[in-house]
Amino acid sequence: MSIRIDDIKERALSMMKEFKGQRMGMIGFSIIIFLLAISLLSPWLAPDTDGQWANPGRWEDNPRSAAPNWADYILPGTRAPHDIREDYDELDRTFMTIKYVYENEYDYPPSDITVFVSGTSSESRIRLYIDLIRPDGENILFVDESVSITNGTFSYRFSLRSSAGRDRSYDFGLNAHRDFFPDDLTPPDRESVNIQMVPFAKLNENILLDPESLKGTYTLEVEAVGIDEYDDEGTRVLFRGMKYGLMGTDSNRKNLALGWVHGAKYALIIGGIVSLSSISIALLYGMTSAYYGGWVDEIMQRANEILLGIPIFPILVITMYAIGRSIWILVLIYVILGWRGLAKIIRARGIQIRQDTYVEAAQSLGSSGGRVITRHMIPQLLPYAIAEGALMIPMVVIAEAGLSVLGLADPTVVTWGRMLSEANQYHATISGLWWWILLPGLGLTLLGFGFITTGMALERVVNPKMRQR
Amino acid sequence: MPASLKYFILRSINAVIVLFIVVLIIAFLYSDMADRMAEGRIADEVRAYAGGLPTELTQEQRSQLIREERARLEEIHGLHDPFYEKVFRRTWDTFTFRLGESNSRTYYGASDARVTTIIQHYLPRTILLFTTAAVISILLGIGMGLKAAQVAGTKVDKALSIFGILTASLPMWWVGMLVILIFAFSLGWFPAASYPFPTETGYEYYKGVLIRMAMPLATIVFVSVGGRAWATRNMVTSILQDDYIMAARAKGIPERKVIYGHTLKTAAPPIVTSAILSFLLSIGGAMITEVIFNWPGMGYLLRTAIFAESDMPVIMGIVYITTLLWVVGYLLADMLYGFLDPRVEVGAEKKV
Amino acid sequence: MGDKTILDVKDLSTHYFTSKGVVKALDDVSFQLKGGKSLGVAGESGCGKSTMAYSLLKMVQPPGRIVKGSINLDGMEVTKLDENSARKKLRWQKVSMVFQGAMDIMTPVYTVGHQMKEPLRYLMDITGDEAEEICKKYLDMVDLDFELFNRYPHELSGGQKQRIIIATALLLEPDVVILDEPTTALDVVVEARIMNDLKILKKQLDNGMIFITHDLSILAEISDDLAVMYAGWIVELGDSKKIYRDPKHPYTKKLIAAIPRLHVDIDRLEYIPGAPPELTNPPKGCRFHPRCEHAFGRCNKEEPEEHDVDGILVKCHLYDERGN
Repeated sequence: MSIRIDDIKERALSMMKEFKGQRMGMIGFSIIIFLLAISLLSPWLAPDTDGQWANPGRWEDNPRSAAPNWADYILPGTRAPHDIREDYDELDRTFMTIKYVYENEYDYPPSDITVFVSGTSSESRIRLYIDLIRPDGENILFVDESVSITNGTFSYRFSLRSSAGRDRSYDFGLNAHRDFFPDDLTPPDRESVNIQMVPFAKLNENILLDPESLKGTYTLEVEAVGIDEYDDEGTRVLFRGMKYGLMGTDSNRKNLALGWVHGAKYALIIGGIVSLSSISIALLYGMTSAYYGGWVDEIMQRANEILLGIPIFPILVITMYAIGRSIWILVLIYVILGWRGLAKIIRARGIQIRQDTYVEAAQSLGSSGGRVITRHMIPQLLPYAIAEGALMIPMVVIAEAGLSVLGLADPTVVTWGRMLSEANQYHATISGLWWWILLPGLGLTLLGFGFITTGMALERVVNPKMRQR
Repeated sequence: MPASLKYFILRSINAVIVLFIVVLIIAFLYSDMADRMAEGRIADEVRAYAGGLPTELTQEQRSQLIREERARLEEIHGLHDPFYEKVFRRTWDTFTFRLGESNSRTYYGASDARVTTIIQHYLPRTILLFTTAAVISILLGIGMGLKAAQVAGTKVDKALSIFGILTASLPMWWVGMLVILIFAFSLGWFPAASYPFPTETGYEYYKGVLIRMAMPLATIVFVSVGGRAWATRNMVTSILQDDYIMAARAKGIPERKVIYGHTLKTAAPPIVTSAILSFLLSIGGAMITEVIFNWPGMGYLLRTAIFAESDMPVIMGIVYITTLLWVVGYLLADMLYGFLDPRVEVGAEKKV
Repeated sequence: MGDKTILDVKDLSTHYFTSKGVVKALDDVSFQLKGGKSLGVAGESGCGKSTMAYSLLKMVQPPGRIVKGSINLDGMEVTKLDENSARKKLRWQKVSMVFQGAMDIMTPVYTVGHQMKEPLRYLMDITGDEAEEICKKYLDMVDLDFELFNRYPHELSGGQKQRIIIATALLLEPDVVILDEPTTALDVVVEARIMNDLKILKKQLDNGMIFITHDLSILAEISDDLAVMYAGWIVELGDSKKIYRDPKHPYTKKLIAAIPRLHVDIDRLEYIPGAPPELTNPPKGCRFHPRCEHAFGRCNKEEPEEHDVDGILVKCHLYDERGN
């Protein structure tokens, strides 16, 4: 009268076959497999991301607020790619001038030029010039500075986004603006100008108001008077892109694709732990309650009803605030409270199964309570519990994300929630940095959709009553 | 109706127990922080006291007096009471709305530092946004679900189901971010932030509030209505398969009456309760949505208290009020169920 | 109404078009019913009894529909009615139905009175005291106290519920009352009492009645005619006493032999081996042949004709020679 291993195997196989027939479920399941694969490969796909997320040094070479590379395909205009020059294009030894040639063929020119110059000199000071020669012959002198030499070497960093860079850019634009509007007493001020674009803008009346990309060949010239030799390692130029990588960057240059990978990992970890623990506890609680019935059931149900009345959100806020901003505290709270709803469903199903003849038969044949539960009830209820437990995963992950936005993000891990919380903190919405919002949220949506459809398909397979709907 | 009376009483007792447990947890977690806050306040007062002591006292006399004063103040603040006593005192204080004073000097724009005052300042806006959204979403969702159930199996029905499943897996506040991106940033139809509230009076004021409310409201409704409709649809289709519906049809009752009478009236208790419960469950999401839209409600206050001020008493107060709202709402849902379904008995399984 | 034929069903076929194939729940069924008379319909579950009832009410649920035949009810062609006129002219006024006692047939959130008054209100425009008067009259008829009127269904016993359903079915004095397993869910004592009531009612009223049940012994007592159904067919149709005494079809013989009788040896109790066929793919030839002990060559090839044997219509190859 007992269920044999073969029976369970057969049941599992037939369930699998039936699951394959559920189209939505199969789509959802593929999403889960995809997320799982990404998580498992995260150390290789996205090295040095986890602990380094808040370390600006890790992301220094990236562009700020760059759109994903595929933005060109879906949005009008072309964006400058991220272009790192480790080697100069030309070296003029007579004046010790190095040149970088940049072809701007984009509607959105580079977001920044960052120049690192270093070298050796026997003088105590050198004079450094950094110059941008535009296709229209105009010339912007960004740096004209004396640099002191210590121990025979120097290193210098310049960026268009530095205050000097911004000043020069604005001056250049303002000059051009004055040519067109000589009587304009209140030209647009620096804050309102799209200043990063001015050095690459057409010299027309819109240069300050609505700059247009001037396409053509630009030459960046660096001249260090008094230098002996440039240091090849330390001398390089970044033409920072307007697009970068698969998911772009945030306003702190962080590569969102790398964060996303770890977001998937942590989502599955916290969701997985909570879901597995809830399934186990709920099975144990629900089945015990259903199996013993009577006053045991009564007490267990009353207790569960009280637990069901406890709101989880305020508890999460208060514990994470008071004890620590950690995803493990969130996991703990969900482990403690997450099983209660599932236990109620399991109990109801368990009572049905208990009335099934073979459990009664097993009892009458003298199987012990524990044996009846493990041999007869678990095989029936487990698939059901798994189906329902799958639905918990997105719930927990979304809760984590929400708490992050409230300011309770775990600073030691990268989650989709943390990425979104930063997006909110740095006003990604009103700056139009759509990828920063869309992509982490898409992670949450994929996860939710994946587990909900899989769970529902499973539910349909294990609960024939629902199939008729 | 003694059976339903017993049901109501048991439910109420449940609610009180739940509230007590949560408040106990709050008090437990609060106790340590409250002690530290009290220590800080005592240190300030002792310093003031020491400054006011007559100068002709000897060093020894001074420190003696200061020590006594400190001990007196510590006694007043109950710093040396046993832990459980502190926890229970705190529990009782919370229960009776003695929520203490905010650490922040800004009072968050309220008229004084008392946490109750601050919450009173913010709560009505949350309730305004949340209940408006709930009413719209429930009415619309039930209507859509009913229609879908009547055309079960058709393309419209399937589309609604997919919409319901898709939106159910979306975080509400994330949709809010997208809404801002689209309707405020790209199209510029609405202001991106709800705050500050309009300063005009009369008609202009209400118009201003409405414009600010449009996006958060639309977001909450958009995210919740599909799931609501889907749940309603499933409940109604399962009832439509019940025998008494067939019997009612055989009796020649007009189809409209079968749907809006027999079916809907039977479906009402689970539909209404599950609507209320799922709205209560979305309280967290809605509070975060407030943050996204800068809607100056409880969620906005909570984030400010956490992020900008690290203001424990205010956070505690919000947590308590949120819990209270939840517990009352939960109880209300239970009561409503008992009221709507003549069959209700203690322990009866709800079809939620 | 006398001996006038009020219900004439000819070649009625109702099929369900499911994803797994066409379920021929009712195939070429013909019978007649005279006013004041009663017809018993017997058969195992799934033989098409309930489908027949729903067809008469024009209430076959999709994916099912009536594909062939006619139902002439007192001059009205039921199969041609659209939904609206079926509701306004046919249901409950011409044909009413007492649903299976095993089912949850009363809406749990309305009072008994509300549900009883509904047909009066929606079909006859009778409301208020007048409606209550009528209900009271019929409640009296089934021996129920008017006090139950304001109760909810869950406050009633199974027997009380069933009587209320019966009373409700009689309210509009329909030509035909269908009783679908009216006593199945009830315990034996209640069942006996209700059957008694029904017998008395039958004498008082001149409605035609159709009893649907799997219990032949009840039918022998209460119905004038008997139709035995198997797998969507009527395999035997005729005077119920005659059939009961001398069944012609092998299936009917088995059914009657399977009725437990107190005064007969228990080991003579028979059962029918096998299970009724899947109606998506019924056996070729005679649908009963896989379970029939008299089956011979022709049975699994040709569909049997109907033969008149001593005034009883039998659908069986055994009577082929005699019929010809």
